[in-house]
Amino acid sequence: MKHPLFKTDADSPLSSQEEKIIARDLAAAYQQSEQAERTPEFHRVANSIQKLLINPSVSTTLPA
Amino acid sequence: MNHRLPETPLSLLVRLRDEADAPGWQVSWKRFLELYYSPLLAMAAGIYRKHTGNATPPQQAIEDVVAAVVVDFFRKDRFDRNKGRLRAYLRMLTNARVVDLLRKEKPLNHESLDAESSAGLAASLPAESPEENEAFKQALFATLIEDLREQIPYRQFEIFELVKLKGVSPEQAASNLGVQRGVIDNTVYKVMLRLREIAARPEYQEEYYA
Repeated sequence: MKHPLFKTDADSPLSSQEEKIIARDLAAAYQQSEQAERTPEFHRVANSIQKLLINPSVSTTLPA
Repeated sequence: MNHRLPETPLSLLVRLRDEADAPGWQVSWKRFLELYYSPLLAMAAGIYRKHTGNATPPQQAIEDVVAAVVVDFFRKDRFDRNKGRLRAYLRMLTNARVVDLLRKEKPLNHESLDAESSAGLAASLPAESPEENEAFKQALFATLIEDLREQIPYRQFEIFELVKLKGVSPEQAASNLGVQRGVIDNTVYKVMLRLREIAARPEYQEEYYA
């Protein structure tokens, strides 16, 4: 089923139900994106990437 | 995020990666990670389960896979949007890293992989799990919001953010910002139209309905 936000006829009016669906999904995605960076897991991953990207000589092969 | 970030619409993700040597490159990969951390985790866990007969993936190992995939994305050969979708490309990178992990992992809860088995797994990409699909779609919405943020005046985004993303009532938003209620309604209406125009672009359509 086509999500109302991804209708290609962007000028067509939305029903109130469609507006609710869009608002719900946008808010959920926004909050998820905001919250992701606050977890310790996220920071562990970011630190690993930082080390790997800053030092190109470090192998990206996973540890045995 | 309380800092202003560079543009990160879907169509520019590749450019962000290609500018990895530019001064803003650290912001670029961090923003990419913020947007795609959840789908990458879901991809890594889902692919691990598929390859191991539903074994539980070790958290640390899955985090290592996600880190390696992001590094691969910013280092490997040019991703060509004309040849495939971002979602498929990220899944391919993730699959390769999960197979890498399985080859080296001590098989506590699944059979060990010999070279032939791992080559076969690397070549066969498991079907996408519902969790991966959901997480990727949510990341796509977040990317759309970023795209929008870069394309409209700050004040308009501020109003849209308050009402549509943070759930503040239009009356309260008008009061907070010291404007008339009609300004809020008009702005939200205009911004929604702009958002729908962006979402109607082929790159978003293809990724959402992949």
